[in-house]
Amino acid sequence: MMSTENTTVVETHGLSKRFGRGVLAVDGVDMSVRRGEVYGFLGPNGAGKTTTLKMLVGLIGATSGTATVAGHAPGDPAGLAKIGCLIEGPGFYPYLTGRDNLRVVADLASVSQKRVDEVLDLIEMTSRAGRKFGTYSTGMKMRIGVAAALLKDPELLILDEPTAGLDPQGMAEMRKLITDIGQGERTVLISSHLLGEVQQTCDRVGVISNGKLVRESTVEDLLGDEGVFVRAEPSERANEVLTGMFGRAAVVRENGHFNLKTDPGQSLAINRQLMASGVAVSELRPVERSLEDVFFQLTGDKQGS
Amino acid sequence: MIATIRAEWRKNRFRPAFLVSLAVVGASTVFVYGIVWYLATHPSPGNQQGVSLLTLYPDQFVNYVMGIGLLLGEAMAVVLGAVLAGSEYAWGTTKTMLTQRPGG
Repeated sequence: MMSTENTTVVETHGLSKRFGRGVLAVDGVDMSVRRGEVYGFLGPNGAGKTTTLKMLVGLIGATSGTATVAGHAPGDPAGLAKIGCLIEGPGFYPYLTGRDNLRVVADLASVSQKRVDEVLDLIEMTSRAGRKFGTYSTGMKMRIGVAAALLKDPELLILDEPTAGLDPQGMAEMRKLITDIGQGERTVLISSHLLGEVQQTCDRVGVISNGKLVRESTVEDLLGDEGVFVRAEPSERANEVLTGMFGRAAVVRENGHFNLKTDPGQSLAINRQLMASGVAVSELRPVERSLEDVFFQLTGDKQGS
Repeated sequence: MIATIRAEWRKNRFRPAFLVSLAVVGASTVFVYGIVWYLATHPSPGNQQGVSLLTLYPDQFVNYVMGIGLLLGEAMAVVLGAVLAGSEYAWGTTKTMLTQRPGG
């Protein structure tokens, strides 16, 4: 998914938003989204995701800080011409058909009407485009929203919670659609609080909590190194063997088991060595931190409740 | 500019609020014209200065019919404007429009 070219499409420095004299919704966010990547903007409800995205497309102004989006200031018409977005759900006329809604958006975006049929085909809604938008299911509405965002064939696609309200099948279909859209040079920035969705679709993630960007890295880096879980008896002898194999720093002993900071591919060798040393192994398995573990660690367990 | 006008027409031509307002404006125009026509064709016997048939001629249409209906029309325009702006906000279409290409 990720391009080798690392030019930045979205860059913010100290971006902040305070509503009136009260809530500081976004607090000094420094983020960068590279060309061609699918970037996940992850955070609990109320963390400041949508507010940040609204600032990026110029729907609201920043209180302080700077942002560059597709080479322009947020809200600049030249920049908007390169951005397709779906913010806070799809907003369309319920009495118009899906196709007519897209035609209205195409007119406003100065896009050829031929493009409407192309994007309907892309999101597999051609056969249902003649129905009124108000009669669509949530998933179909979301698809029309994505189609509208794609009308300009944008360099940067910003999708705010694109799977919100969808059933599991709808979520899977939307994930596939996002993955397909994210192929090639197009940059996709999606916000979500659904960890599985981000883990499956994104190259890099930014984690926001209480308005602050607390981490920005690749999904792999965020999840950290893999390891091996070992439960063996006698524990003292097992500790000696494992320390001998991997060094003291790589062996973490806790509550009667060991967490080894090593490649799970070493499992067979670990088992052989322990058995040869007279240690009985009752459990041995690879350990992978889930994005959920990392998320709660970064944002605090009580976030989003 | 032309594209923006086309978009406005495309979205408003089937809009219930727009169609109802159009129907009410049409009906009130016919109603007011009907009153003028009645007064012109049924002058009261004692009134020497009744409404002249000349008022029904096209060149007087704006002066009489639209003039009388102006207050009603203004009130309807305000109501229609509020309904249009309110529903655009409620449907979220304002966001959709503002994130397109202004001035395109």
